[in-house]
Amino acid sequence: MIKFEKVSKKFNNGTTALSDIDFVIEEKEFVFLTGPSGAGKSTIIRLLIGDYPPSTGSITFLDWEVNKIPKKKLPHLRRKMGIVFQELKLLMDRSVFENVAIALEVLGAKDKEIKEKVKETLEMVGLGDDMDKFPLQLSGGELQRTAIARAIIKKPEILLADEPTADLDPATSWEIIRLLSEINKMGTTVIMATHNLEIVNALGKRVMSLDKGKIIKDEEKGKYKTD
Amino acid sequence: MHLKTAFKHIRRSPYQALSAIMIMTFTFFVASIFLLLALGSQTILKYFEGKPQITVFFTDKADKNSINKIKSLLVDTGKVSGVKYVSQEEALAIYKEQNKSDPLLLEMVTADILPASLEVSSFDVNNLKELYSLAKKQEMVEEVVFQKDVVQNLTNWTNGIRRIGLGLLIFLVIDSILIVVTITGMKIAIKKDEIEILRFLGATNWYIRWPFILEGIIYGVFGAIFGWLATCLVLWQSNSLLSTFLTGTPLYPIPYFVMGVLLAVVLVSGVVIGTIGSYMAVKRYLK
Repeated sequence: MIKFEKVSKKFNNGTTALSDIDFVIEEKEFVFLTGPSGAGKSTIIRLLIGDYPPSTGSITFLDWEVNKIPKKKLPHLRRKMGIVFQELKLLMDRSVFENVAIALEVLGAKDKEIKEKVKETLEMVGLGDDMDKFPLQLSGGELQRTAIARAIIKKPEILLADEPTADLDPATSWEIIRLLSEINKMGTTVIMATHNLEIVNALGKRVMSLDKGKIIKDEEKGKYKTD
Repeated sequence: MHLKTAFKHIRRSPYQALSAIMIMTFTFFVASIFLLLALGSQTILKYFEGKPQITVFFTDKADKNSINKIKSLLVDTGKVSGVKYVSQEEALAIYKEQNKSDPLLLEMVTADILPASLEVSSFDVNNLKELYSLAKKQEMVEEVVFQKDVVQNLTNWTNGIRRIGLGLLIFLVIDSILIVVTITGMKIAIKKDEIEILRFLGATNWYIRWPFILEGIIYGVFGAIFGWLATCLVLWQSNSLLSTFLTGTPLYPIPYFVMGVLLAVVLVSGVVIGTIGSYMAVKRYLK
């Protein structure tokens, strides 16, 4: 489903974010990208969504060669992906309902369909009673759930979550992880960047550990160890 | 869908929208007034051009034959659009009609006193001088009255109004476009985060652009309607003044048809200006 071949990314300021990365992720997998800050976790996600191109190498997602995709076609690629950003990127002047609905509006869905699907998705993530609230009225966990609801409402092939538990307390972090696991069980491939040791080790999923832009370990039922 | 989003944008930043609509209103108000002035002065000019511009008065000795000769001479120049013979009896009838309220004046005048005349009009006011000279040097011609100044002044005024109007209009249209570019640019900058999110969610460029372009069109359409309404209001308010000056000319009252065409013209211009302004902003700020 996803294939990185000899991918390197060097930024204009001279920083090397990734060097010579190779990996394959199959459908319905749940993969943790781990490593310290600056290891290259977020860069992998940004390259995958076509936010910027790799310096060398090729990236394949489904039938697309992401590194060669013209800018005009990027929206079609991104419609197959659900993205949860570390900084959430919610619209503060829109309600929870509107924040989630926007993902379907972009696809040109009809009002009736939007209403039904948003309601259904918000109930699934446990925000059925908070539809009319604004982001400022929500807790950290609820904000994260809103972002996840927006990412999954269009039933993407893959869910990319960049540090979704970064600012959450342990109990709320576990709620979010349980939600992501459920989404994965329903057939969506999940890639989650994190440096939450406890969660990674408890779940027993595939772990790709990065350091200084290189994959130092890739294990099927891995653990995350810090030195 | 895009129109709904455009109206939502306007509702969320009403002051920016208001300033754009106000400048558009001013542009279309000035445009409407100058269009009406240009049209009006043109109509008045045509009206005066259609009136006899040279009147050739004959001496008592002039018989019908010699008058016909002079008439042919003038027509043969190819510069005469119309010529009408007014006999002494007809001149008396006109005199009586013009002075019917003053019996004393009527009593004193008979057909013998009034000269026969030819009323001559030309296709072009620039030919009048030549026709005047030709008529003047003929025997049997007592006097030639030449309304050169009226027509010439009107021509000068019409050209002046056109030039000033066009200059002001170009300035205001450019100003309106730049205002739409600036306001749309500001709105794009304010919505930078939202646009980024839309892009990550798979929105196409045109999905993002359309609401901004429609917003520009909405400014143009509302500006055109308000500018046209302001013109109607000014015309209505100056009704008594206009009736004093324009009664008897084909300009007054201003036909509904003209106002209808004016509305259509400003509406189309509004759409064009709004589209150009917002498209320029979108091209510049939404790469």
